[in-house]
Amino acid sequence: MMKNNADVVIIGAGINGCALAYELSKRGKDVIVLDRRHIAAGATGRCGAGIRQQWSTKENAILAKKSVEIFENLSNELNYDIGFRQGGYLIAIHDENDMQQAKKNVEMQKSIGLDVRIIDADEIKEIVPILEPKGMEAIGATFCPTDGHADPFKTAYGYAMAAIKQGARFYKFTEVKKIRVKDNEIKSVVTDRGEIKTGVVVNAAGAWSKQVAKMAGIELPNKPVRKEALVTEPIKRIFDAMVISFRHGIYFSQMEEGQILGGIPSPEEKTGYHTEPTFSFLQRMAYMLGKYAPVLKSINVMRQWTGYYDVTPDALPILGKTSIEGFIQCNGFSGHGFMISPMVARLLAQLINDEKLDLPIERLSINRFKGKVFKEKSVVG
Amino acid sequence: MRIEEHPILKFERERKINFYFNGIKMEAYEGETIASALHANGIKVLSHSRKGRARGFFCGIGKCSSCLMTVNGTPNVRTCITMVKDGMIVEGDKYDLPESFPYRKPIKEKIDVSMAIVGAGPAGLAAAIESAENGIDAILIDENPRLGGQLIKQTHKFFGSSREGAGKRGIEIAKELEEEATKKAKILLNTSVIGYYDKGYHFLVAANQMDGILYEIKAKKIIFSTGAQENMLVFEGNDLPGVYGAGGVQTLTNVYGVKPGNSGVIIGAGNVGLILSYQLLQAGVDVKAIVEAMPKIGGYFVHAAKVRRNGVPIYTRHTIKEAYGKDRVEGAKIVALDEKWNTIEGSEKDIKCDFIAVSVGLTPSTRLVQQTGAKIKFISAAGGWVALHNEYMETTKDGIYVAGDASNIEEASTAIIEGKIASLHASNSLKKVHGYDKKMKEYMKRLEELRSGIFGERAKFAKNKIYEEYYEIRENRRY
Amino acid sequence: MKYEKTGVIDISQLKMPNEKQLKKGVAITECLQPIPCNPCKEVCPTDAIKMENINDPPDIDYDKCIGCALCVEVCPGLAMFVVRVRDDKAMISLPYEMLPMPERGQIVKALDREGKIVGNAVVKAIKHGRTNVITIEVDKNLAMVVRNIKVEK
Ligand SMILES: Cc1cc2nc3c(=O)[nH]c(=O)nc-3n(C[C@H](O)[C@H](O)[C@H](O)COP(=O)(O)OP(=O)(O)OC[C@H]3O[C@@H](n4cnc5c(N)ncnc54)[C@H](O)[C@@H]3O)c2cc1C
Ligand SMILES: Cc1cc2nc3c(=O)[nH]c(=O)nc-3n(C[C@H](O)[C@H](O)[C@H](O)COP(=O)(O)OP(=O)(O)OC[C@H]3O[C@@H](n4cnc5c(N)ncnc54)[C@H](O)[C@@H]3O)c2cc1C
Ligand code: SF4
Ligand code: SF4
Repeated sequence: MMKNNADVVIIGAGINGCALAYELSKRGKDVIVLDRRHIAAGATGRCGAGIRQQWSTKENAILAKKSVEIFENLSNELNYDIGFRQGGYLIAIHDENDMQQAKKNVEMQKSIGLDVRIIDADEIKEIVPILEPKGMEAIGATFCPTDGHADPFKTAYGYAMAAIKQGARFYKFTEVKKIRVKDNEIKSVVTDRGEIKTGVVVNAAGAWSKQVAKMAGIELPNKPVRKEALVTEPIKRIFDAMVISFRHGIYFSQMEEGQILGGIPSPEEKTGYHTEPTFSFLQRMAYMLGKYAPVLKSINVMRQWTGYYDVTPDALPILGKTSIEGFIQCNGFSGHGFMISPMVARLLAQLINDEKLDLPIERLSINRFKGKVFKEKSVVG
Repeated sequence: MRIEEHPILKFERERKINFYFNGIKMEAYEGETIASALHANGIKVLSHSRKGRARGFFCGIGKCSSCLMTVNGTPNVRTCITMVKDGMIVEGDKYDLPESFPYRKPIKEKIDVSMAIVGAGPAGLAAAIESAENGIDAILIDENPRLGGQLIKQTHKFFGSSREGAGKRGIEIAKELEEEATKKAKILLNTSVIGYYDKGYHFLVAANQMDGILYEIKAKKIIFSTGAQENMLVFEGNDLPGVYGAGGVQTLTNVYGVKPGNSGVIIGAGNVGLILSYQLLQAGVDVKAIVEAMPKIGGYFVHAAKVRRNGVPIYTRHTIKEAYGKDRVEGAKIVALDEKWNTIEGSEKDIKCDFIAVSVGLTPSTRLVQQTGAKIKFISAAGGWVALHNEYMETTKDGIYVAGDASNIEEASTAIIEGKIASLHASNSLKKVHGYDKKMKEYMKRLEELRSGIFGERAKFAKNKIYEEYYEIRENRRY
Repeated sequence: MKYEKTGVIDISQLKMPNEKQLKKGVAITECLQPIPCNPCKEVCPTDAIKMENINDPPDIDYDKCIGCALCVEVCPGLAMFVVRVRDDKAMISLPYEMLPMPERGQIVKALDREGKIVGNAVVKAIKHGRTNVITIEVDKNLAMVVRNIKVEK
């Protein structure tokens, strides 16, 4: 039987829902997590799971850096190996323009204590021997050795298991149909398996957050965008870094077991709920991978798949309170909701538990769309 | 390990060649796969897992991943379906990327065709022949080097009605179909269909890795007759080299004339396990036992009688507990089961053998058809996930058909008729086929007949369920 | 049925020909289950095999049967045998798809339905076909016991 009341109901068992359930239950909150499918069924189970601190805005860089600090100890904390690895992010610099921006970014990133540096073509080959700087059209790169990667399934499961140990409940294959609001206050959540009374609802429904928000009468500017990724057969481990380029939109890294996993914007990129993969993505990705690392031309692609970015107009997440009392947003993560999830979860838990927040999050509130939009430049995929 | 004399088969071995396994020079014959050449040379351990466990091949039809080796510098080659070539360098336990990689820019070929048929087993072959008879241009694609699918391994005589070739051996039926299809249809062998994409029209991508050709195929209708893949069973040591799928053993003995070992234990007394045992006896292999968990033999009694009168024991209500051996199978421990499927203490038998063949059923190969967006459902009577379809074999996606084992685990005789039905229906919706109604009625009748006995009950049940679910969806969608 | 568990039938399950019929030599079928199969019926020159539906097991009319053994050769189940009893000897025509091939006049081991050796047999005739049909001679009391042979190299 499903429990029919809770302090907090979280909609969505992606990385953000799971992490938040952990942080809240740690604070003694009675939490229920609902997912219409299962843990990591949304973007989380389909993502590249790269963890990058090299952002162009200080706020983002700090959020990511704080998250890495949590990631570093997370396997211990959750008592579950999340496959966290720090192989660094290598971000291609293609021309003088890039170089100027890179210099600015690195200066800012250093100011917050990040170990980042600009490297030349020779050093690119030292860090990732199979890269071909000419094919990459790169004159250099920025490199931050503490950036990395974790296993998205294991991380979500690790959080969920730990949350369950602390008393949180997860109801899978349970779809939220309605959110009851009275006098501008959250009253309950209605699912296809029954109703749960609660004062706080967290909308962590990923690409479906817009629909969930509507249930409480809140309009979100988010849009689902189909993104594609692929993974190759495993080969011997040759490199640890995540390679990315903002110009080409490509990102790829090598998994623990040896597969190369990555993505690139598809020539047929679509807004809306489309799940079919495209051949043009496969061709484009294969072509670019071949240019970046020619030796990869001789290996096979095992699978390609799609997932959604939940995209906001400024590519930044929507976090925090809304005009409805008790209705909390935790969505709009675009292409980077995995890497910042540990810190996002902590901040939202602090907010819900009326603690002092480690970092301010007002600038990420939904209210920002009333004013002017500033766009984060360092976005890939 | 080569079979020199066989009561049914003649192995016409082609030119003798040499290849290198981990630096050691070995002999092989042209026209055989790398894995079978290695077995002929007594090599069963092809590589090791990352955790150091020995790896040998399992399925023998390119559908599992336990035979991967590095060939001429290219990692992860499926050695069970890749032909050995003179001077080839074959290495296990090597996952490096080659220094100077053997990459060739693929040749691209675009094909625009009325009907594409994926899989050239009996279902696909029959579909190709049918389309030619109806004047429809079709292309038949298979990733194996030979036409015929599972049939080319069936040295036993088939049941069924004389009209569908009963009393003939599977290999003979395959040959007849092959000859007819080769005359009538365009065929691509050694070519894997690797993806389906909906571009507003049906679009397949296929690759011939051997010759480096990438096909982009635009088709008005597609029939997926991709067959099935072997089920695995969980027991200790099931990853030891020498534990094979039944199909893998058949390929080795009946297609390439190489013995999987000298003495074996067969798990599963369905028709496949029984027939396999008989075929092994014919190849001069000592079959130590057939082990079956159910209280009775699942296959036909006549198949069981054939092996029994050759002295092979069948242990019903028994299961395998463990395969043991250092780096390769040296024996099997079997154990009796009680009414509640619990193992009975003290009933363990230790059987020395050098291979174990697992034949515990097949699962339809539906990964490709699933990519089309056709509705897939788990129907346990059909053997697993299958694409819902109607009596004409059309799935919930327009113009996408399935036939044969890919649509429900059954028989070659029914696969042939399903292939014809699918092809006839697809042909007729492209261009009116003269005498369509009569022909279709006749096919339907034959299919009905084949399924009318008690052994056809499961298939009939599965099919009815599939049709029912199909109509639920199609009706919702159309109207 | 016990044979579903063991793979071995009991003689009592067979329809027995009378003495006269046995003397003439008739086909004994050990095909008892309803399986979709009919080549034996199709091949029989005297229409001795009754089978209304393809799934029915064959029913042999011992008066019509002439013991030609065509059904032995065609049967995919290797479930047809021709048995003829004369004096104290029985001639059994059985399907044989193994190696080595015996020679006419060779003495081979006679096996029962479980593959156990129950005596010796003399090879009287060999007919090569899709399935080879070997006719052996054994003691009369083994007429309904012996169903296979083992040929030593
Ligand atoms: C191809 C790809 C690559 C990516 N690469 C990276 C990367 O390298 N680094 C990075 O940080 N990020 C990356 N991302 C982004 C990242 O995956 C997402 O931002 C992140 O996983 C979002 O997690 P989430 O928990 O917010 O949402 P999701 O994981 O999408 O979870 C939402 C859940 O809500 C459930 N749900 C929806 N509606 C309902 C309802 N009505 N009732 C109940 N449950 C509901 C869904 O079933 C789903 O499980 C990538 C994304 C994609 C698609
Ligand atoms: C031991 C044994 C005994 C049997 N005995 C009998 C019997 O007595 N009577 C009887 O009627 N039936 C018998 N069968 C069953 C019969 O062999 C099968 O039911 C029949 O072969 C199924 O035909 P099919 O065309 O559906 O598939 P298959 O014969 O399996 O052919 C499928 C083909 O598709 C190809 N393919 C798959 N995926 C791809 C891809 N992505 N790209 C290109 N090609 C692809 C495969 O390479 C294969 O060649 C037996 C089977 C076994 C294993
Ligand atoms: S032995 Fe000849 S006559 Fe008798 S049933 Fe067989 S085929 Fe017919
Ligand atoms: S041919 Fe053999 S298996 Fe088929 S029905 Fe006749 S006796 Fe039975």
